[in-house]
Amino acid sequence: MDKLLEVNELTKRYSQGGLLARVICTAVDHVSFYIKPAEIFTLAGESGCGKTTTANLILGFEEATSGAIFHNGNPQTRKEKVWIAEGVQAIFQDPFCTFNPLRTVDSYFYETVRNFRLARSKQEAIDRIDQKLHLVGMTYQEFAGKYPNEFSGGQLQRISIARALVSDPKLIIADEPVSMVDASLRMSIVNLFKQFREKLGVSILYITHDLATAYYVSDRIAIMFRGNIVEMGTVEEVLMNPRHPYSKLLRDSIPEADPKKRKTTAITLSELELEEYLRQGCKFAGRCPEVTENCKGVAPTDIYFGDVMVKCHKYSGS
Amino acid sequence: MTGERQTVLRTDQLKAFYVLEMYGTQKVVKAVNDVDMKIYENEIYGIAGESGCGKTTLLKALYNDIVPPLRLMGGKVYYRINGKEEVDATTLSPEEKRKLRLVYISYIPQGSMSVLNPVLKIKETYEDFIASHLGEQSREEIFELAREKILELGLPKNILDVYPHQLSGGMRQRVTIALASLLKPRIMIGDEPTTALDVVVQRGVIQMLKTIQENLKNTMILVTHDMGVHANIADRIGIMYAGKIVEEATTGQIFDQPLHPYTRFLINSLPKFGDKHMRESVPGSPPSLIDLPAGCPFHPRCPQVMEICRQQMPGFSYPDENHTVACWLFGEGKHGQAA
Repeated sequence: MDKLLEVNELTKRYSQGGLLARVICTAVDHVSFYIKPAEIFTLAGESGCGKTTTANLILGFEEATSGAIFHNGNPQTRKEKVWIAEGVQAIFQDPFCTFNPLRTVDSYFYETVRNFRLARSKQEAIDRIDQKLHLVGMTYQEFAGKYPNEFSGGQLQRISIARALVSDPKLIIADEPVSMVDASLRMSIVNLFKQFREKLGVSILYITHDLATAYYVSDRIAIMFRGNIVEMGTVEEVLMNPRHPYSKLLRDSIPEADPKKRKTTAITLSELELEEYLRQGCKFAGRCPEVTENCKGVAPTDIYFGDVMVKCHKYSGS
Repeated sequence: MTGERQTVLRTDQLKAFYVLEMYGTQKVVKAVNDVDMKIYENEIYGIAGESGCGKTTLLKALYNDIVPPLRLMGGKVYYRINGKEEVDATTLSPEEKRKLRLVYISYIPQGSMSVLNPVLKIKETYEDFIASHLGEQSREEIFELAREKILELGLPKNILDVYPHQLSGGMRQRVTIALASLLKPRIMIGDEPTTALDVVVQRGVIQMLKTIQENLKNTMILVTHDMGVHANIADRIGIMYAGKIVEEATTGQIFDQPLHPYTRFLINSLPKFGDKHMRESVPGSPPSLIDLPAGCPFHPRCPQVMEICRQQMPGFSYPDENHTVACWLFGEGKHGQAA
């Protein structure tokens, strides 16, 4: 099977405090997954579960404590960042923070063109930029020479996506691309991702906590909790038939746009984030409705149901 | 939901505009443009719409917090306090308004993370807010009241003794909501109370709002652009577009048989589990409130636009008792016609 990106046993530890009272927090804990060409892979979970850290590690913004990242089979090393050569691009959460308010938006496009040496003349560069803007439903004329404050949030996010496309990447890493965008514009962004996968064969690592759009757009999904992937598989399997108690909680918490499906059961909310990170054994044990003694001491291992991976003691007997 | 129910809050052709002077020219942002609404006792009323459609401004006007550059250009807001005669809220003096706040009407602002004073403990913030409403009570009695409320809502009891930065976003949000409900107000107004929280915490906050409403039997007015939240909590929903309420109905009607083309787009664009069909988003972008299109403000984006839509704003039609819609497709309507 072709693997565009493979992440193997990726781990990132942060230490807090001084010499005496040091706390080591494993933000990403032996995470492994892969992305196939022309596939949308979702990394989902609540805030503080290590989704963004994983993206930063793949993008090379941070150095992993251990583990390896492969791009098209080539390992990424400290000196040779494969993602630069392959042109992996990123889209970030807040479009207003993506662009410097004192720089025109088009300057970012020219910079990308220059960095990847994609054009020989100015006209060639403009043609390329115009073509990419068309993909997101804009034109070069309506954006040339303008500053970020002249656009709405939805427009800026689309510009940000067009910028990511300039270098013809095979993989786009989208970190919460729709969480700051209005519900009505959200679908227009997510529909773009679908189009790119079908027309351009681009793979997307879609990081989100919005499971409804994740279900709509993605092929496979991994649910993360406190640095671990607790369940991974196709969206149909994982979201329609969640096996891990945390996936169930997450799935149940989505306010579905259907007044007939109101929530009636009560839930408990998390205690301190750090406490859960430092927990021995299963990190979800503090909140899990099906907790056993075993969960509190021993960390669960990966169990496979066909294509679906679950990390839970509940299934270790079978 | 019949006419016999008592309204607790009512507006009559409410108009609140931002008037800005820039380089000698005057700009008028028509953020709340001719809104008629009736909100009853013991209900949760949701207001939905895109960013920049005037939702927050409408809440400010309902809360009677109109400070420049926002100006009341016309219309009235009526409060019914303790079931007595309606009072025109726009004529109240600042002192009268202050007395009503937290006791009769309370407000959970957007981004309530920043409501809490970072250098005061939670209990001192609570004291700050409520001391003047309680008269001759000692600090200890106020803390006791706060502690009871905190326990009743299932928050940890030591929460009153910590500083805001020690709490997570979801916890701060719940502390703010507890504060807003402390003096048992008859109306609670929430501006995007669940936005910026992740799904599990969001569910916890919705749960808490519902508990409060069930206990106090009061009225809640919630603004959010997340239709999923509305489906879960609201009894009635008003859809706002470009400063106007274009459709109003019970939650079931809005989701099952939306009438206004804009509402239909909003509902149909929602992703659903078990259904991967392509979903269309609303075409185009929302109009600028400074320079509204003539006629119905939705006409440039409407797929069913007619000649009359470009010229005149429709009035309200009543397809049935609880359903109100402002669209030419459903007739000319009456009252509320605005340029």
